[in-house]
Amino acid sequence: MNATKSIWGEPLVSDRKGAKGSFDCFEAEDDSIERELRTFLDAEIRSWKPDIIVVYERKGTAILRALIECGDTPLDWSWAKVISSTSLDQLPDDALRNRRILIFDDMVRTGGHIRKALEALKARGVFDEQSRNVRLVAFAVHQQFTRSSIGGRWLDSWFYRDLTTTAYAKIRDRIICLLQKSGSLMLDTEHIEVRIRMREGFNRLLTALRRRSDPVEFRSAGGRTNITVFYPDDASHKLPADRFPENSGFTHIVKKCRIVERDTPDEFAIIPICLPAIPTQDGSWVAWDNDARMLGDGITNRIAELATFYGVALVASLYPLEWILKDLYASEMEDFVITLPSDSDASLSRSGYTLNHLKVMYPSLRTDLLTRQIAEVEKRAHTEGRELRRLKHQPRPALSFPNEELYANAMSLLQAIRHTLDARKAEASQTSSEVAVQRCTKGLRASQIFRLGTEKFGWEPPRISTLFDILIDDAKLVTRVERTLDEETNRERWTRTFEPDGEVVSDLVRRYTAQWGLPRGF
Amino acid sequence: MGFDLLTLLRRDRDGVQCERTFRAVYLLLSAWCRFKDPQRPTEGRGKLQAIPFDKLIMAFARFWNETFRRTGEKLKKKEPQTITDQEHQYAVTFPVPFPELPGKHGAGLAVRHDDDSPPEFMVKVLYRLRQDDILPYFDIVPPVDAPQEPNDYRTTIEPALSAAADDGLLEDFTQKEREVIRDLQNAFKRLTAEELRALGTHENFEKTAADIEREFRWMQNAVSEMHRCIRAGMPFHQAAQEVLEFADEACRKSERNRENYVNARNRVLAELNHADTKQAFEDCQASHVDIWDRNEMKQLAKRARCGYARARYLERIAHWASPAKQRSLSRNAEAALAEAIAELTSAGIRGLPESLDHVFVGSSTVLQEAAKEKLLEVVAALKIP
Repeated sequence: MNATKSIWGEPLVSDRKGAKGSFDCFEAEDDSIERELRTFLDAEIRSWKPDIIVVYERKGTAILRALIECGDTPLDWSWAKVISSTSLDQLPDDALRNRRILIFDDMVRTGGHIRKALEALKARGVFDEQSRNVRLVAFAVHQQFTRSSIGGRWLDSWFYRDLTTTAYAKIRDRIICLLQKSGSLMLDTEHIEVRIRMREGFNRLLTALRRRSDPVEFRSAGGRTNITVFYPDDASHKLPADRFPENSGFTHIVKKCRIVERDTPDEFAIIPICLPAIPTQDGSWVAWDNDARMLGDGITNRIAELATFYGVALVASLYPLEWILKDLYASEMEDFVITLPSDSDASLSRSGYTLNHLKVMYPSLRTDLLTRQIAEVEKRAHTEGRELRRLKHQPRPALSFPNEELYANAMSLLQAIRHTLDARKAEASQTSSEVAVQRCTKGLRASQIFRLGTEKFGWEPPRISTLFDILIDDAKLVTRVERTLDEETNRERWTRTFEPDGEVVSDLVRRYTAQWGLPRGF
Repeated sequence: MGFDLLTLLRRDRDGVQCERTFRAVYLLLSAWCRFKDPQRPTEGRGKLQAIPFDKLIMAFARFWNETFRRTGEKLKKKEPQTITDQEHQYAVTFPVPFPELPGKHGAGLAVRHDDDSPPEFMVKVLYRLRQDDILPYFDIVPPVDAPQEPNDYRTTIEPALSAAADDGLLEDFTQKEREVIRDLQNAFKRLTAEELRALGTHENFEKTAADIEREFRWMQNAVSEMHRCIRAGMPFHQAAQEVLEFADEACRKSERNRENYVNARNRVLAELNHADTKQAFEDCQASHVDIWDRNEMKQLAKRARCGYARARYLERIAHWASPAKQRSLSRNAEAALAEAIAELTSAGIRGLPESLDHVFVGSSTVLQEAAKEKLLEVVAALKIP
């Protein structure tokens, strides 16, 4: 290329996907990454014989779930012996003391996640320097890390190390591809799941969902059909305030169902998601009896900082579940079957699945009581749905977008989120103003991202909700729970926030923005 | 389908973008500094101060990015070797690679380092590049009493190369890019420093409103400091000056910049030769009506005026509350306060001590109790609820 045209540059990496197009998962590399991950963890389990594996949420748990539940040679490990780093504080000290604890992170750049988990264990006095009962392992390590340590301690084991930024990003992409092929969101250990099998065709499902919501379909990078069912803040989709902590926030929150295609033909997973913002202070949550029994003491007594947030989310998700089931039962579709989870491994044959993996995030959860609540919701939805069949209704207009357009929108939204966060942090770094610092959470709230999408790009809320799902599915966006200040009520709450996933994604997005500009409208 | 960010990036593009951006900015500065307009009084042409220089870069970037969106952006999906010569020559091939980040008194193009460090704005970046002998285009001279502070508003910038070098610096730019640069040179050189500043500061209503809100937000630290000092009976002039600076900037943005902006925008539109560049400029620089004539802006202007009046009053009091000052020796002390009172009255704020004798105890710098309470009320009115 001559000097004049050098401005266009050469692609940073070759298009390794060939004729398929640049964005599809590349099979051979994903197979090998799965083997590598399995080999690595299997070796750790066999040689070191841990009692507990601590995984970093979300990818860590997704990897483990992919290895335990998918593939021809599942990893031999029980969910009962896995805990998310987010939920470590829900376990009593006795459950950790004198135990061999394996802390696993899939990718390490600065070591922040592992450091945090190790410090938490040290603070609780369950880390024994002498017997070295805690082992730190990472699958892929950036060259930046190997020049530092975790409080004087190095990693005990790794598969790849000294990775350049490009090599690190490539391995990350391979892992994401693996997870997407394995079902991505379905590998979550945070959300409940109900399965549906259809025989009437996909379009009938969309029509049924359009009774009171705006479903948007997209195809994930793993080739699976997904539907985002966004629920607005209207009278039909309210949550009862008395079931949740006083002064919780229920508007402008994540409130949706995701429907994800499973491996079995015509079978989908319905995953309801609802994340109310809860006060950071104001005492214990006086939960309804059946919720308290289901969630266990650890969550409702607030001994663990975020346990109540996630417990509230689990209970709240029963509402979008009820709404979607009611809409399905109210439709004229006859040939679909809802399959509820079994309440134990013993009764697995009835439905083929349980919700035991949720104990990674909710260690004190009674999954049997949860499945019972789900069954009650389904029964209620069935009864009310059938009653609704008598009422004529006009389905809401269909919202349909080409997949390519949605992915382009998702990229624009990601750029917008990164730029907004950078501007905020730039402001906070230049002023120690209390107001600026208060505004400076690590991520943006759902309401702020929706506002970006509507004001800057003119997008409809259901589309924006879908873009969230695309970005999370593609591991471009990561979720947190942070203290935020509600500007209307001046209350501090624990709220779900979103930000680009780590320095890898952030740096790539910034570089992309530098090379090609911010999206129009922003 | 997902999106693999790695495959969307181009090797070495960023470096070329940076270098050509700096060259383009240099060419605009060179044209401005060397322009001799017999119709306008000279303003020390030959050098541009830091703030208008920073805003010149902002105005350039805004326009350049808009023309990139209209031309070169559509080529980003093409493989580089498949871009034809014609497509290449008729495009602005890159956006300015620096992000627009908030700085004191407004957004500016900056280099971001990490989450905890403040960004480095363009004047400092160029100063550092010059000191390191990497980029020779700009002579950046900080003030004599702050030689290590290139960000000081008194810093001056002038072209470091001779005018003869200008044409050579257009090498490697496309035909379209040269056209845009020449058009902008021709337009910008006719603007005064204040007009450049206004053009670079303002883009549309939303950003101007956000900038004004930011001024109110950034002043809060100094407001809190003032409150603490007044309550403790300590000098508070530094904090008061800082608040006044922010309040002044809020007033500039909410109304005072309007005339300069109108003049600048009209002059640039008159000088741009090509219809497509005129349209791009109109689209990226909103009209003064759109920016200042909305009710929301009028409300902000009112708030800014009140804020300024309060800040000015407090600054005048703070000036004489410093132990070194001897107001009995100054004929202007009361006159300056009277001016501040007049501003307050225009803003509809009354009931404050109108003479320094009603503020201080005798000829001391100690505040009378009643006056102290009044001052604290004025400070409280500057706080964001």
